[in-house]
Amino acid sequence: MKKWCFVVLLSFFAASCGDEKKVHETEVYRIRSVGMLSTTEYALGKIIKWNDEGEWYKFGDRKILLSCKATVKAGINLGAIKNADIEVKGNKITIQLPPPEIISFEMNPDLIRTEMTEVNGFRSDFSQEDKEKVLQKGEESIRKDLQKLNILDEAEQNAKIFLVDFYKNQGFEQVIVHETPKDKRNTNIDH
Amino acid sequence: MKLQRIKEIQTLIIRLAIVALIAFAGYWIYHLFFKGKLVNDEIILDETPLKVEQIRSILELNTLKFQDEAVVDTVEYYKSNAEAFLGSLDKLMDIDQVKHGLSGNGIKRRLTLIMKGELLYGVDLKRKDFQFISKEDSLIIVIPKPELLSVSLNPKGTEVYIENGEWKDYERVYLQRKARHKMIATGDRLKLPERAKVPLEKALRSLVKTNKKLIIKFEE
Repeated sequence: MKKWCFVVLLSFFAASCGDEKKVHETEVYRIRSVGMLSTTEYALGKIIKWNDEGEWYKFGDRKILLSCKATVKAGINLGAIKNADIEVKGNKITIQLPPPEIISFEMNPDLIRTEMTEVNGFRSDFSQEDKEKVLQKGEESIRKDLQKLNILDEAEQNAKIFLVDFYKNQGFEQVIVHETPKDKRNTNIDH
Repeated sequence: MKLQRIKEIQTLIIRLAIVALIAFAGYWIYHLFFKGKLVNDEIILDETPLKVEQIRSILELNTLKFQDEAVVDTVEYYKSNAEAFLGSLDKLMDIDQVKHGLSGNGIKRRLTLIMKGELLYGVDLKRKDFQFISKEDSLIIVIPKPELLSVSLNPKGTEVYIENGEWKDYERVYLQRKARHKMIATGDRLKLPERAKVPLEKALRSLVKTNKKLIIKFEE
């Protein structure tokens, strides 16, 4: 009898704790026409370091070191060039360039490695979910650091070179490209 | 005699309920004090430098952006009832896995990821440049056929939806690779390289300034 009662209680407990969620697969996608010219690519490397001391009530600490690589492409949005931005006078063409921006950001999962973990006290080991959250923070940090790099200036210079060649190939003798002032650049890091 | 038996059963039920309550409270105390759900705001990374490993001049004209979401899943079942019983017992001993040990669905391990990705299609002009052919009344531009230029699958777009059992990094990476292939396959099925031609033509027409008739041709 005791055993039966225990089984009933355990089943009740199991029913309340089980979390096997059903995964429904639906196609969610978005297709958008763009006109982005990527002119510069940076390959970056970073060590993501987190020392999880936890709150005062958590006994023990844990540390993790992850290494990752990111590939960032920058360039200009050709779609932002309006008719008024291009002026043609005989063999001379003047063009106002849109501000350079980050076009793509990729952190290849194949190039992400757990270099070290250390777990002390009663803390649990890092799960894949924990690691993914640490990596998300790492990605955020790389995106923020991009502003300190010269990538946008280089992308703009390379775009200028491309446009000068492009118009010279069309027969223009003089090609003048104006840049957008730096204070009007897009500082958004989520692209 | 009968009254005595009813009383015994009542006492037993109350005691078992107390034991279950203590176990339940213990589980939540463990989660609150030892494990806890990792919240993004709790993570403050140590400052480390960003290393620039390579700088490259490229020339890619991206004309189609495809944002997709893929669910990738891997499940391992117990091979026998005996293994299921022992496996469940093992999970019951491990406080992180208790909830999976109690579900009794025969699943030994399961990892499910929901991944958001971005694919860019266009032409790589470093590999093959435009060709300008100027004729008396027309300007012909021959351009390479659009192709897939980049696939971005980042941690920010990755959600670990179910993690039952212990998983190694390479197993997670395998799933992420699977999601990448899935997205590329969807792009091919939707004929996106072909659909990237129209915006490519449009971008070129807005750039080219000529009085001649402009003809844009794609390489075969």
